[in-house]
Amino acid sequence: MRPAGEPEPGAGSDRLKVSVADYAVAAGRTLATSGLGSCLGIALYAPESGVGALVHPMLPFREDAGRPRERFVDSGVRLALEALSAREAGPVEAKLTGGATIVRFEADPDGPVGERNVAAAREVLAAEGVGLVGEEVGGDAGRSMRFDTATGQVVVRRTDGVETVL
Amino acid sequence: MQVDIQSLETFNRLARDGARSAAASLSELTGIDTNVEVTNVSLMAPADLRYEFVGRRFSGVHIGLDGALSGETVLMFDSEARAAVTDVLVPSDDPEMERSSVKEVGNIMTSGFIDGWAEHLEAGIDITPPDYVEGSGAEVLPTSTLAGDEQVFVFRSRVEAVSDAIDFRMCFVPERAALTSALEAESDDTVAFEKLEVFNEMTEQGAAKAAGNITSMTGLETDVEVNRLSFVPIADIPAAVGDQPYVGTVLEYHGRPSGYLVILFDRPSARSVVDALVPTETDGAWGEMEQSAIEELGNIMTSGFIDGWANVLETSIDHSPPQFVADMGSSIMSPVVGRMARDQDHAFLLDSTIETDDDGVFRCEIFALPDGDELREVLGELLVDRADEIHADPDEVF
Repeated sequence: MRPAGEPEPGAGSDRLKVSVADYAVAAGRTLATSGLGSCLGIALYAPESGVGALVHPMLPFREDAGRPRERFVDSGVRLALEALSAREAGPVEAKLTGGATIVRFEADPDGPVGERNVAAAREVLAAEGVGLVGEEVGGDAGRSMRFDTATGQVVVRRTDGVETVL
Repeated sequence: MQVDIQSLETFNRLARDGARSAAASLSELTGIDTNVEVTNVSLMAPADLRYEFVGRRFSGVHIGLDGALSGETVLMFDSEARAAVTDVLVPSDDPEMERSSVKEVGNIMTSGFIDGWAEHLEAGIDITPPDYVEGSGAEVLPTSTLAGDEQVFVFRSRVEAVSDAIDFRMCFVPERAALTSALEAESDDTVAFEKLEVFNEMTEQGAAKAAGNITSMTGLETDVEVNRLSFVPIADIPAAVGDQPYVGTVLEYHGRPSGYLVILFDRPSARSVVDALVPTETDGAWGEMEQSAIEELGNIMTSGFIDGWANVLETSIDHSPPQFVADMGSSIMSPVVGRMARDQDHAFLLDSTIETDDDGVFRCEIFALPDGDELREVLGELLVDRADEIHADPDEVF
């Protein structure tokens, strides 16, 4: 987990892979992540500066301050927004994918975690005043995504073969 | 000897930081940017470690450690990674120069890997001059893993380049006595090293039983090829399973311990299983009949696997009906580890690979993720200190 403000790793290459429960900030490059099941891929893009962040959280809300911020939707989004703000990136908009229900567990009284992740993302983005300008969420298929921070374009590829451009 | 779980977490972090530091050195020397994909510490039989490297060519450096943490490290580049490194550093096509550049880069990267450990232990670690190693599979592994059958602790990291399909691996095998004194218990949160070994052996027996179930149901001759118990950061588990497509079942088990069991076949193997189980011609899709065939097999394999644990641990463990899944491995694991990530940062991952004899044509992976606290508790209650004193004979209970 990189603290915000540290130099980006791989600053010389054109594609940066974001792991589960991690995030990255970049300009002019592609941020990519895969293995999105119930997890979310949240692309945050500042069109004025062309700076973007990709967050890959696993769970909706961080209730224990001892847990890593990147792991949760609410704290992960805020962490990435802080990093964008530190770069004076300007107003930010969001695109959202993931949140599938690949496995339905017996003891999920609040509903599948994928759906709760999507709800949490909408809630925290609204609370932070970030417009949600595109989404491809839910269903029962895994996803990979590529986020081109040069243009703000997000390409989502589902494991059932459907590709969506956001 | 008690293993302190907190120390195990700390050591895992040191291995990750060390791998990052090695990756940063590589980047500085060659401009190749990398991402640390997986770091874990596994307890496994040397033969199982060797099996994992069969058939692939590696080159790199072997370095011996002495002092605060004695043991061996090997840094291995696969063929593509080696070519990428030498392309940058050796403009001419000179094999001798290429070897020496790999040796130099490997030496600098290994130093980066080791520094954090020395700092943590507040003591010096002496390193031997690097030996260039090159060969297929096990030829490049630490020499301590080439003989004997006593289980070894192996710290491993897999690091991939961000833009190319190249990777390198760090493999650190500490000497058992050195590791056990470094992991000496500082808290009550401990588990006996010997019990982990017993549990690992039990799991292998359970996997063997599950392999036997595959054979009796499908006629495919299968065997357990690799079995290991890893202690792994939760967020690394999807990457450890990988992005390739799988078909299989996921279920929850309840009892002591509770947890999750994921059985995954690669697609051709799943197809072989279905062809053997479903007598009528199917259209190639994963329809209802195919799904229930896979679920039924998952159910029987699970019973073989879980019943063995319950017998040895003298507890009762029930499981939910298996759920059919067909997706990329990492996506299948994401909801499972998501649930565990609510209150764990690290997890014990038991991973067994079942294959047909040596040809690798049929492949099934079993991943068992027991709740960490519950596993510690039940192992704590196991009335054995050593594997050879166990009162339950694995051959009888499985």
